[in-house]
Amino acid sequence: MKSRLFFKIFATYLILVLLVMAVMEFFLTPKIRETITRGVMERMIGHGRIMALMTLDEMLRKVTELAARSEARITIIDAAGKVLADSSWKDQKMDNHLNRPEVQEARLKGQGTAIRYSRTLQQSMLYVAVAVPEKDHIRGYVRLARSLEEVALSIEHLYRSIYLTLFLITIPSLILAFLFARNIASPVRRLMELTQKIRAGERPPPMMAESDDELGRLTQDINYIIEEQQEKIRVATEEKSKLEAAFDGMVEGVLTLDGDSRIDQFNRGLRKMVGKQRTDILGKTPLEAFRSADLQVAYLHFRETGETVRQEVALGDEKSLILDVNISAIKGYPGNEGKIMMVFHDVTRLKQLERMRMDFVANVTHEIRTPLTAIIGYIETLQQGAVLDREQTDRFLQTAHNNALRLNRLVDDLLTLSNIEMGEIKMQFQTLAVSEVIAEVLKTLAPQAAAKKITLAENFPEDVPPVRADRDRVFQIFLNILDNAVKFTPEGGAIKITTAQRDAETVSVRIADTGIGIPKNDLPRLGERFYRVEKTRSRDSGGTGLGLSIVKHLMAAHGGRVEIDSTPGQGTSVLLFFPVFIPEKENLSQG
Amino acid sequence: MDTKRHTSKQYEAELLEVKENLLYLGALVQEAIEDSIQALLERDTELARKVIANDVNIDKLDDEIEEKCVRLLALRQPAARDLRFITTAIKINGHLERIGDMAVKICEKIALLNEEPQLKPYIDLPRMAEIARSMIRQSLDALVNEDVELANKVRREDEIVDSLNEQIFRELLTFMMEDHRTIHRSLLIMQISKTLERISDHAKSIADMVVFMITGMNVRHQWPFEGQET
Repeated sequence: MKSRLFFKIFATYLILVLLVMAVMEFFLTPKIRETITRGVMERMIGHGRIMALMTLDEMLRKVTELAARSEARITIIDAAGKVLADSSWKDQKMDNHLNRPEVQEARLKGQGTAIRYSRTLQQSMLYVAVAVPEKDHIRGYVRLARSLEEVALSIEHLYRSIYLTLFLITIPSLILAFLFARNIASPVRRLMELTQKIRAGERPPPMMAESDDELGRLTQDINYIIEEQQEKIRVATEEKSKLEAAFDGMVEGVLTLDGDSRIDQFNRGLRKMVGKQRTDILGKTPLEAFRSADLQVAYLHFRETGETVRQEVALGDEKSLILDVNISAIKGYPGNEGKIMMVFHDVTRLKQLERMRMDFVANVTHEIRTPLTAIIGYIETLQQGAVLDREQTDRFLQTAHNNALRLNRLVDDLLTLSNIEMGEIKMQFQTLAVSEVIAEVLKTLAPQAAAKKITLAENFPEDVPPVRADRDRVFQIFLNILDNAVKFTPEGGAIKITTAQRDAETVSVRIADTGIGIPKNDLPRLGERFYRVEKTRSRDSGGTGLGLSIVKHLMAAHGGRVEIDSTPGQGTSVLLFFPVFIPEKENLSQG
Repeated sequence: MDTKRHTSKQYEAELLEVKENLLYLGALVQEAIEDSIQALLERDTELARKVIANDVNIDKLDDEIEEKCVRLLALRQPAARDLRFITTAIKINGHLERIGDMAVKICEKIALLNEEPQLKPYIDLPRMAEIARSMIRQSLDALVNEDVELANKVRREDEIVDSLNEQIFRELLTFMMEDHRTIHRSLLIMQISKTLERISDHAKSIADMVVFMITGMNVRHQWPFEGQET
């Protein structure tokens, strides 16, 4: 049993017992010694006084007997101090004893005592002298002497029994102490083991209370605390997982910064948003992680003012990601001072749409105003008198007419587009060989191609099945695409058209040119109305900016799709997918 | 950077601050390049002027970083790694500031270009600008992550920009020979291209410095490809 508590209690007991012994030794021993010595002395005085009742002669005769009876050495001295007899020293001559202190005292008071070293016997002796009276003067003295060692011996006897008693008391009391110490220490130790288990994160079963005393109460309390703690942990864990689920489940990106402005937590939403560009952002500062000047400005502003900041920041290469960030302090939890939360909202798509809308309005206005300005200008010129010049009038009217036609075309295109988008256009589906339509379109565009010395290469394998399509619409699709191809291919270039059966249900048409190409960034935006790769590049080519948009929508109406791939400077290739005409399917849908 | 071993918290904070400022400067410079290319493509003179005006911020931050570095050198007397970091920071700082000035130069040319009709669609210029910008970013990424590999990659990318510059030069030469009216615009574009090429040179130098900072090896005058002649 290695309990410190046990040793402490046990040691306390041990020390207590030892202390009792020490006190006895130091305070009681002198007292006992004195008491015993006095007792012996008084007994000797008693003996002496009894002896003094006898005459000297009687005493002299019975000196040996008297000594034996009183267990003392007896010396009989006459009034002058001369030793008449001595029980121990029978034959030797002894010097005058009148000057002995006990005798002197007896001469004055009738009796005297002294403790001194006897040279005769060479040991400490206890002397008692009693005067022997005769009528009214002292006839002599009787002196009794006992060795102090004898006294010591009897003290020793006494002590032996005292120590024996003490010993007999100590043993059981130590056993009791042992049991008591163990009784306290072992439940405490078990409690300690219990709390250690809890600290280690285990869930020990509650402990039985073995008694009703404080320890028992403590055990009960600890049991209660454990139970309560576990309940609290359960609730907290539940709350935490709820929060985590919300944290990870939300679309917004969230991150928190610790007191050293390093990212200590972020959610799945944020990983999704920036994951492509930034991995392991944990432990970095916002600047290290995102390297955005906008974000840093917002963050520094927040750090300076402490106000919640909301700002749009562009992240990523070529500002491909536009985020709305909300920076605020995490408040209300002690120890959380200086923690900051950033919430990111992806507004890239929103910004794109906004831009698209603004572009659209600006483009429509521009596209309409250009021909209108021309028409107005020529009409005004005519009004101001040019009408008189026949030749000029014709030319001006022609130009005005051309512009009016362009305006008309534009409005037609817009109308077509909006009709397709609203689903109001009726498609006349029929069996159609795409190659026939393409050939027809090429015939229309041949003069322009020839003027730019563009080679037109066709590759129409015979086994390509017919498609299900509206002839007029398909014509428009290929006209738009091939017209673009011719427009944006420099002189001496080539356009290659290939049809192929992609799978059982799809026919593909690839139109590849060697034109100037389209930058990667612009590819996704090509289908937007009025979207131009370069603001200035195609308007001069006479397009309305709606061509590809119409193609995209018409293909969708056919149940097909468009894919455009391009390398700037090398050319563009447009891939169109048409659904194959399947008669059974047609019958089914009609029946 | 492992600065946890510093006993002085203040010192550590100061080193981190220099690093943060450097990254901020880098972000500002990248933005300047991005904006100037956007100004070129969209013929947005307004944006070009904004870039020119914003250069003040870059210059201010440049002064600030330099002062901080000098103060650190004087007061803390850094050794080994920290000394390398601070001297590197001073140099990177200088390079970034120069790049900022170059973005201003580009924008001045753009403002002039926009006064005339567009000569040709720009294809290689944005590519150059994008590569140069990403070189700056990656060299600073290498600084943050102590990534020698990435720094070396940046050092090699300089080649691509150089060849694009030459390509643009040849293309513009044909324009000028065909039509003398295009000479002014061609020269302006040429200057922009040349400036972008120099920006990428600076970015390469930054990458060199990062390699030095991490490894302690001076690679400034070494060819980044192994076993190849310059």
